[in-house]
Amino acid sequence: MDDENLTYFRGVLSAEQIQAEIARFWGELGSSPELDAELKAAGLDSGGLSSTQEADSITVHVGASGADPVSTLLIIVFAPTANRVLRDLWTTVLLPRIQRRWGEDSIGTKATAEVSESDT
Amino acid sequence: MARKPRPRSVSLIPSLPLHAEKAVTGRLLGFEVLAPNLSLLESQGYRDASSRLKGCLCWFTNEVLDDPDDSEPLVSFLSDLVNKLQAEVARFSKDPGATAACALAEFAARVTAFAAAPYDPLERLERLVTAVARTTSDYYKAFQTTVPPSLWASTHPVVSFQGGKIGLSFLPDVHLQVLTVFGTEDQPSAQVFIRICPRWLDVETIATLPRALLHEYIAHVPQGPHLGARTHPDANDIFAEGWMDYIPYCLSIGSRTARTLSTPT
Repeated sequence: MDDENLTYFRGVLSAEQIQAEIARFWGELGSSPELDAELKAAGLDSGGLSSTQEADSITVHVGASGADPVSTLLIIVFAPTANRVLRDLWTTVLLPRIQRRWGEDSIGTKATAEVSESDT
Repeated sequence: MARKPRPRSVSLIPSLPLHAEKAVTGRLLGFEVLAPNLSLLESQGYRDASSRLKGCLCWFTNEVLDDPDDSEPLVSFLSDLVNKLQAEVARFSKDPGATAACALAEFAARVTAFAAAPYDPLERLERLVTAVARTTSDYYKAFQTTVPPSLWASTHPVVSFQGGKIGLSFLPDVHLQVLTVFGTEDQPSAQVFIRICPRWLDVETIATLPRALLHEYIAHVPQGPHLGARTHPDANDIFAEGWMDYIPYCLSIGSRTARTLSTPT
């Protein structure tokens, strides 16, 4: 099931901080009109998501670590029972929300993506 | 990845989230007023007071970044910021305290003016980008270099804020990044990504932003369109960026001199 998970380089936030942001999302689900609108815009049903809401439905794991924290990998693991829905939720709502709150670099680039950019 | 260009009828640059907007506006207004006064304090021999004032401005604006759920309005935050700085300055000794108090009175007046007519700092940035694009177009025209107008029309800025430390590859003490990504989906296009780091926004970075944008528009935007991001020959090669920067600099100096000479007095 590893292929169903998503792996990122670590950004500014630690695995624990990202997990806290995920918990915050679940805490707001159903009680925040703003969040409901975001989910609707992303084509996701907040009522349907409530049934997938479990403590371990989306978890963040540290994939590798070393002396250099930048090289640490973070693996976002989705519960197999609702893997596709949870992945969509992560990609279209959760990740953009976290990046809006903590910055574009709060989570690093996808570990599988080719990184090819430079500044000025 | 290249994205579709935004429609021209809407703002090209989306607003920052409130906490980042507070930090960015606090620093932009703060440094606008305080920068000359920080230099004045240093020239008077009070480098420690200057560092303290600058440090406090950064500290208080960083605090708001750590609390993205705080819903305090921008203007209220700015007033609090002035009050907090005034409380700090009250602890300075007499002479540097007097200079710093004058600076903060100026800052308070600036915040009052802002409260009377608030604006989104990114709107100013959008105007800067528009001016840079126009200057670049004029620049190429001045040297009889034909750049299709559609190239400028399909070039759009995208601003994002960063939580961590960033810097220019060849000047890491300037805490911003500007890069161009080309697309060819519907038509050739370019997106100029401007990455701002509120936590590291300082006088040098603010001062460098217009020049970095001008460099990007002159040296890189007309390189496209290519699919994907422009590949740097070597991320650690100062020469690779430097020569492209140096040539537009020489040409702009030459252009300015020529215009000055040709302008009737």
